[in-house]
Amino acid sequence: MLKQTEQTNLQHLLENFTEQPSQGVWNSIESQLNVVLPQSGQSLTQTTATGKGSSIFSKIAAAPLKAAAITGSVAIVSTAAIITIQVLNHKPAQQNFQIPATQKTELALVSDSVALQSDENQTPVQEHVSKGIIQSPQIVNEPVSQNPVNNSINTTPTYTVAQGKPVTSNQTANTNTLKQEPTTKPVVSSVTNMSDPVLQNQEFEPFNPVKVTIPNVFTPNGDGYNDQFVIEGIENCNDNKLIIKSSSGKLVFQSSDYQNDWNAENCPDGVYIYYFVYKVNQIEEKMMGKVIIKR
Amino acid sequence: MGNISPFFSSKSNVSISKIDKELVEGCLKNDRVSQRKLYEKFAPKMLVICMRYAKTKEDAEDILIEGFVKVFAGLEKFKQESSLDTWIHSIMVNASISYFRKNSKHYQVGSLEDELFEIPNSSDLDGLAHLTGKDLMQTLQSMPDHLKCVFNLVAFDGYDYEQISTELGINIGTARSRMSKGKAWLQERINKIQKLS
Repeated sequence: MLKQTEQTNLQHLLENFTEQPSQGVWNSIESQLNVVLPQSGQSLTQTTATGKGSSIFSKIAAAPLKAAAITGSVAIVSTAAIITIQVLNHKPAQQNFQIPATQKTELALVSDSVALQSDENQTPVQEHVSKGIIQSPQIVNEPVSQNPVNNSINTTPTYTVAQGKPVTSNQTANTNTLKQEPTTKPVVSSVTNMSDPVLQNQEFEPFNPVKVTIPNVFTPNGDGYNDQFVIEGIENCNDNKLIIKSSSGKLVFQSSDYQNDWNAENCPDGVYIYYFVYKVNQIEEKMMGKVIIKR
Repeated sequence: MGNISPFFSSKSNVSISKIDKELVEGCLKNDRVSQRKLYEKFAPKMLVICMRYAKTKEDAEDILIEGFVKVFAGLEKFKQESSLDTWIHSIMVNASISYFRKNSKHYQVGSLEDELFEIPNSSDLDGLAHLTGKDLMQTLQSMPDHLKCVFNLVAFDGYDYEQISTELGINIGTARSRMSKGKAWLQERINKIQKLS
């Protein structure tokens, strides 16, 4: 459709064409570099107003951090208005980044790894976007009626993300751990990788946690082992509802008040998606994930 | 990241120059001064590439920013077998493609119509001699998004339809039809410009 000569003619027209970037462009690049390729002893502070802060912040978040720039762990300490990112074990020196937490702040750290969201009115959630290597604890906020304002300064929740630790073979389940009783402070309630030295130094508060574990594979082949889709801890899940869909989105099973009795009849082997909604202490929790059926 | 398209790798038996090599070394040490120098050296040309893919200079600068961050972050991976210019160029094209995928209002995977569209036998682009670089740039910027991306990849950046199909996630038929329509659109614009002059 476009001959070589035509291409050459077009390219020739633009050959010597240049365009000077505006003044602020290098600054934007540099501020992203300060996050992605921080220099030793450098700290990055965002002091812009709420609205602007989040948009600049999300631009920084768009650039993935170079893995070599952050070794060891990244600890995130959240106060009322600021999210402080401490880069521990950073070579050559510890780095601190402080970024104001606005209504919705998103941060992506470490190459294709952690994404954090903090919306002051809702439960702060950490999801790891990586391939399952990074484990992060979940924080549960107290019910809104008890304390509608965000965390008090004295009790900052601390959660850490360990980088580069492979998922061990017995970590096949999706675990959601909740406190059984409401507390007045936010709590780190589940850590799936306790061998990380950084995590061991943190203070945790869970006691008598309610653990809900959903398997990500089950084998309904009649051998008496793993023949049903069993959700551990379901006895603590009030008003629960389970929905299973095929990977193409077709609903294959649903139950309100699930009894751990689904055996995947009429469902061929493959990957399915579960949605499990339940309440503990009147707080609604949701879990979602994939389950492989293999006979 | 930054797969060099075949068009460039065949051209790039020019390996990295000495000056560029020194720049790269400084940048690898995360020296901001070297990084700035590298940016100053290549940005004006690279911005032109981004402008071909974007609607406005501001959008193009967004792509440029993202591209350069990727350049510095990924500089270790640069094998120095090709010229630095070529390598940065390919990163900019990739950044432009990502931008297109994220932002284009018309971003569609393609329709059956695209597949059935019969590519007309087109004559060569006529009237290019009457255009200035600026004319061409402005025209390209105003080309409809979904046509523009494909047109640029073919006309300027050496992609073939298979690669385009993979990169943009569209069918080959769609890629071809968009190229054809882009060319026709361009020809119409050129004709208009000629009439005015």
